[in-house]
Amino acid sequence: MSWARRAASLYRRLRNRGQAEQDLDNEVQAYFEILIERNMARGLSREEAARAARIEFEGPEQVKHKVRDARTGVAMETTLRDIRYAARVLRKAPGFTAVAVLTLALGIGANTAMFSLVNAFLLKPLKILHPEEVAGCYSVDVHNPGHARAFSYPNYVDLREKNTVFTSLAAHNLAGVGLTEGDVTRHVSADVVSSNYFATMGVPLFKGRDFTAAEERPDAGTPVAIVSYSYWKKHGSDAELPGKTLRVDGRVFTVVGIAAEGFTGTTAMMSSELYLPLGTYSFLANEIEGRGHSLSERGNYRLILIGRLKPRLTKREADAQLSVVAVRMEKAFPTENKDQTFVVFPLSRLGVSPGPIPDRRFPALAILLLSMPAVVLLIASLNLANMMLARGAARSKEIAIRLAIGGGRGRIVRQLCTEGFLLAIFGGAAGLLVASWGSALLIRSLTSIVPFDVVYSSAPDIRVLAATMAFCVLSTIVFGLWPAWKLSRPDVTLDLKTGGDDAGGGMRRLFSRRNVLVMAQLSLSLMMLTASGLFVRSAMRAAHLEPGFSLENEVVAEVDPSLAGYDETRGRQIYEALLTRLKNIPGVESVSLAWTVPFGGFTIGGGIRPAGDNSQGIPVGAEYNVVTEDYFKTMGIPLLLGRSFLPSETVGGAPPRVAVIDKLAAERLWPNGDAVGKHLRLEALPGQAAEDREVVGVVGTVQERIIEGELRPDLYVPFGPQYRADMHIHLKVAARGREAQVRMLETLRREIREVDDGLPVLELKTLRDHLNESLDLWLVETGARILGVFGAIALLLAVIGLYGVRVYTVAHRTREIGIRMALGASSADTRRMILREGFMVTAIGLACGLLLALALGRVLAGFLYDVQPVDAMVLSTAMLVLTVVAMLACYLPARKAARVDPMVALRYE
Amino acid sequence: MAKSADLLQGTLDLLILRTLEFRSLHGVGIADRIEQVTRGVFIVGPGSLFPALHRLAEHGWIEGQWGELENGRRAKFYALTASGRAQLAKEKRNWRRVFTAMNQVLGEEA
Repeated sequence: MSWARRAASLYRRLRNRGQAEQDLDNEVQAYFEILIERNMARGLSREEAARAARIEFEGPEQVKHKVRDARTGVAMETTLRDIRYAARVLRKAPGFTAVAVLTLALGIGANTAMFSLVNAFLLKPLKILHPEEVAGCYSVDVHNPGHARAFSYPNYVDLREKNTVFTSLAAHNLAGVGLTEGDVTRHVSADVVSSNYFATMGVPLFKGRDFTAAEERPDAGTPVAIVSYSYWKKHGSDAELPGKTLRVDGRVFTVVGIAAEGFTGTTAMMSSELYLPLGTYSFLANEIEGRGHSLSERGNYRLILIGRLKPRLTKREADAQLSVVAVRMEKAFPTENKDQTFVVFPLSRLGVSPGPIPDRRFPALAILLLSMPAVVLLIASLNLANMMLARGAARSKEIAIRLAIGGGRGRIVRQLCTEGFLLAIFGGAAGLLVASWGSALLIRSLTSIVPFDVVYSSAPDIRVLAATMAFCVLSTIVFGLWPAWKLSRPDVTLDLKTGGDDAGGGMRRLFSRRNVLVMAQLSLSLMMLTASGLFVRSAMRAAHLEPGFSLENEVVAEVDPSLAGYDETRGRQIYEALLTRLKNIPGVESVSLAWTVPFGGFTIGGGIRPAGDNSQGIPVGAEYNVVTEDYFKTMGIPLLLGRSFLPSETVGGAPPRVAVIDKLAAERLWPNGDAVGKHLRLEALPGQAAEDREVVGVVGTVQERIIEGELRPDLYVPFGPQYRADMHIHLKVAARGREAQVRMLETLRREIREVDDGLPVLELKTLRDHLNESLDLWLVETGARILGVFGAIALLLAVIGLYGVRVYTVAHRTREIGIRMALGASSADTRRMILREGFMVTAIGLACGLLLALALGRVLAGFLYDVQPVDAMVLSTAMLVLTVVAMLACYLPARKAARVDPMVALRYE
Repeated sequence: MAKSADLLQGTLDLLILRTLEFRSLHGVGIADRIEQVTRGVFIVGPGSLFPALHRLAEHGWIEGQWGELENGRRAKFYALTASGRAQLAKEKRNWRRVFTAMNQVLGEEA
């Protein structure tokens, strides 16, 4: 049977077992009929003939059963024999096997590692009971459905009790809190939740009890907490933990429960370490918005709702039913619920937000992330394909014999593929190890910089295993099936006689299969090198960015009097004392306070427009910061026009309504005029009404983000009228050099202690270190590191591939070289001849790679910080590196060729 | 199923391949032919014949195709493939070796 027919029959059998069965039925039936006819021909009557046939035929079912057994027996036997044979072949070539497995381990490992991360973020089901039933419930403007806002507690309670859509509706929000352990206070993220939160998720606690309805009541203030499973693990897996206490924001909380293992709420991987009842919400310090408002106010929109939909309820039905409730609630409370309706949306796995976040952008990013290692695997597979071809050529005699004695081409292809697949399986197994090691390393480094628990298991789950298997199969197709198909051509003997496909004229030889494979490898690896070059360049730019403020000789400290339980009056006193004391330390040039810090955990956006502009147009979005008078001086932000704040404007008491804006804001608000002296209107921020302010100064624009690196306008208002407990202290210091700075930091810590012993210091480091430890920079640098590794692997594989083929070519053409030299060609001629082909292969590979690299550059420029689509520096460096190593890979075999002794060569073969 | 003599393992395969060496036959034809040529020593029933045919087909040594008898009845005809021919040659050699060896053993005994 021909290979194609066999494959077709196998496919049919797998696709449609019924048809094969039908065929067998027909065959058995036909046999039976013929038996009867034969018996009748021997003179029996129809009945006698049938009876005799039935006796001879022990029973059709039994026969069919035996046939099925025989078929499976053969299939299994063949497969086992192929595997045994392949294992023997590979064992006999340990060098080849080791290189192949290593190559595949790198290629598959890179893919599995990336896939593991994508899996953890986007695919792996969350630890929630029936996650498909859980949805976010959002309050949106009827006229502008894109505009969503959070819920107030009274609205939440009304909706919880009156809706017909959810079997259970929970409310929560995240709050940054200070968790004190011994001397150290850490910023952690706490999930402040309703009492039915864990019940709505359908995930019972690991130990202890849920929050009670009394603890949920706004302003109840019962200091109880539930900790995450990993918090419990990190603290010695103390079975007695429930009942013990911990300090949150300077208050003593009693632990009442431990959440289930692996529970991360509605987001993937990132989990809060602490869960607190809604009743503590108004007391939590550091809370960014809505300070001083009770959760019981219907106008205080703080809560994000998660509901478990009734089974089989569609979004359309749910929205329709919710809109009825919304109309009723608007009637009952027209002020707060004007124009609001409620809708459900699938929850984002990547964040918690009052509005629906589509996870749409992330699959695109995931595809980009996955495509990089895919290229590495492709290079690895092409490399192996060449090795298989070379090995195949050596085995062509064996293959020719098998073909000659009628071993079907399919059998040979199958045998060679089994060999390839066995290699891929070993490579995949090693790749799993590489991947779990690599991703664990990545996660460990991430854990050290985010204020969350990172819940990640490096043990592969079923999806990761399936993906790894898929990588094995795909690479086998490239490096196993294709060469096997070529090698098993029936005219393989002809190939042998004429010296294979390396024979023939220059062009045909140049574009021989092996050379084309190497060209593909070279071009792909140029593309990878360019990609990693762009990533590295982006990281370097980010590390050397000039953000518009000074990064050298700057120190930032973060304190929060509210974490020690101090109220505003005491807090003001502390800040005043701190400013005075720190200013007088020798070596400190300037001190100021600021609410948000560039590259910090959060920024506050506010809408601004020229005062008196009553148009309904979109206001200019600006970053909002609260600072003291010396801020611009301390940070080295140039004052372009007007003045900075006066000391009188930054103390408590009567608020002078002034503001400083940056150049960008000035240009946007007053494109053709002097901003100083004009008034701007700051749209209502949460917890504070809209207000008009006079612009007294314009300063330089600063950059506060690396990712999404677009500059944003800035608006500064004076500290004083605007008290915030969680302020950053900026200091400009004289200390230069690492040691002096470390000494300075020690002094500062001591001085802060002197001011108030109980004041927690949340952060104290140079501004440079603060930037280096930011998530933004981490992402950029980690990307560069990963791509750097991929680029290095790609380069290595391509060069090994090129070298291998050059060596092979020289070995293959030894006889020809011998003849040429016997006829008078010099060593130099020979070397030139061999080098020329290598040069051509490299040149063509690089030319194709350049096109790929340019195309990729366009894609990457959209994702990376400060990168141009065509970066001449990166491109030329990548080309140069590849050319140099490629030349080396060509030169060594060429040198060997030049040393061929004609006498030896002529006797060769 | 062999009634008169137990078939040696693999003998049936050889018999079938040999039977199909010069022409294709349907199942009953193969059974009859074997019985006829061995003068009734080997009578192959469908319980042995069917699994053997399908095993050989699965190895790719024979190939079955539906065709018609003279009387218009449809039957599956089996024919040898190229690799089946190679396999037959191999099994013939094997059999001769075994046969010679067995004869020597028996001859010495006699």
